[in-house]
Amino acid sequence: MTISVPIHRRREPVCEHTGAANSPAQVQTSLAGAVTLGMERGRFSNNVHLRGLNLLLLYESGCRARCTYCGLAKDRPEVSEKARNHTFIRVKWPTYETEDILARVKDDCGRMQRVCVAMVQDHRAFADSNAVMRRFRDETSMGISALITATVVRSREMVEEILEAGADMFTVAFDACTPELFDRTRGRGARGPHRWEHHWQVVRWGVEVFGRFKTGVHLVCGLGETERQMAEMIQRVHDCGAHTHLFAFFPEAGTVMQDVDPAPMGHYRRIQIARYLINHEVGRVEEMRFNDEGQIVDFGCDIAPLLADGEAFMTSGCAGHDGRNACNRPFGNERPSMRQRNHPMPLDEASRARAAVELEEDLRR
Amino acid sequence: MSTDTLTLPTDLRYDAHHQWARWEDPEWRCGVTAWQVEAAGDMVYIGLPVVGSRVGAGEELGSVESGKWVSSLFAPVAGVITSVNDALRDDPAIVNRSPYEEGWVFTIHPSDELIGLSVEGYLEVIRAEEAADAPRIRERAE
Repeated sequence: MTISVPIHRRREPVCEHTGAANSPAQVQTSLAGAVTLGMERGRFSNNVHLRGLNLLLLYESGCRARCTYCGLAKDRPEVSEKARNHTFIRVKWPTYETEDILARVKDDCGRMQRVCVAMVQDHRAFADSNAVMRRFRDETSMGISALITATVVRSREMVEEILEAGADMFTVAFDACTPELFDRTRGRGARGPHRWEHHWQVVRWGVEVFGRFKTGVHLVCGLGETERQMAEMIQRVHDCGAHTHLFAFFPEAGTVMQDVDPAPMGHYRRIQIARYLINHEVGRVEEMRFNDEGQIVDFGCDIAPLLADGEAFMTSGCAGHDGRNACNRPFGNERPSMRQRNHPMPLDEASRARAAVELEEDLRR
Repeated sequence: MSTDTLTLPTDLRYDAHHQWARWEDPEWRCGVTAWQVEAAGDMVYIGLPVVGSRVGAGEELGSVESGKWVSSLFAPVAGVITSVNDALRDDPAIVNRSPYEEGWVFTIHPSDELIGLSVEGYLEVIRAEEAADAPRIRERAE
């Protein structure tokens, strides 16, 4: 025997697009974005609220790059067709009609402050990204981040077109923090199309066109770098007039790096502190001291206020209308049951205390 | 806001953690309710209890996890875990597709009486949670 009872949904879920999908008519959205817009079933632990919508262009042919850590990589043979096309950063990225997403965003009462439109490596991505951004510029009040694939942006004029399409932030997925790591994970060593020097050129164009600190550089911790190398990269990016946004590597099934462990928590925590000090111009990498393994043993200043505040351990990303980070990516680096490297909301007392302890993990003095 | 219907078997015992238990002499077969599954979305990981472990009533013994959410699993009664659904290791979303049958999570041989909720009692739990969520639902709808 069963009984049927009515249940209330915030909104009717929206059918995912099935079959062939190509941007700009269709885009993928992060699971968090789809849940927040009521397009997908789901909820967030700890009553987290998503502040930014992440969209990803897609093509039937997939991304043409071969980054060794990325779930979008062209050569990701050991996963099912379904997973290859629909999962990224360990969770589902459902595909919807762009029209449906826009309709839901307009109905969202401005709670999500920013949309980030991410390219993939494909010759169509530049024009299609601009087309999607124009729709958001014309039909919403959201801030717009262009997460560009530097390899498809070949000139300063193309960066100007991105500005004209409505982006107010220009972000470059650099990911690796040294030329060697970059080449090994994204460039020639990975048989991929990306080049270190060209990425730097595009960052410089971004700063010239969008203005100082209107450009962001994505960096992924855990690709094999030392803390010193990452801190030096953050300093170089900052001195160039760009922000840095930190991500943590998490092994994705079917990728070349699927068996590589994530970097230790202490590694990430120390880089978060270094980034915060550098980006807020409280410290510089030259003032920090490192041990023989490149670990940060001294930040060169008193970090007690940072530990008491906890903001340094929050997700870093582009800001919203209120000046606070609008790209909080809840549970974006790990499963919700795991220790969170990026906190999507302000830390409570227990989380701040835990982060202070984690800062010392795996540190050899 | 839209309305849908949810099916609740009447022959099960429920609890406030949105778990169900079915008596299959001499043990209880346990799982996660359709309401929980509907709210959580596609499950991506089920932390199964250890077979043979002795647990107390209400003791935390595992977890259910969707893409952006995690909750603990609790023992509905004191006893010994006698089996777990190994199929969930490879395909946790079985819980979504069949929460009361193929998506069962564990069985427990009780050493005590299970004090759970009837379907009517569980319905009150659901209504209370929906009421708590109502301001947020209204806020979004406005």
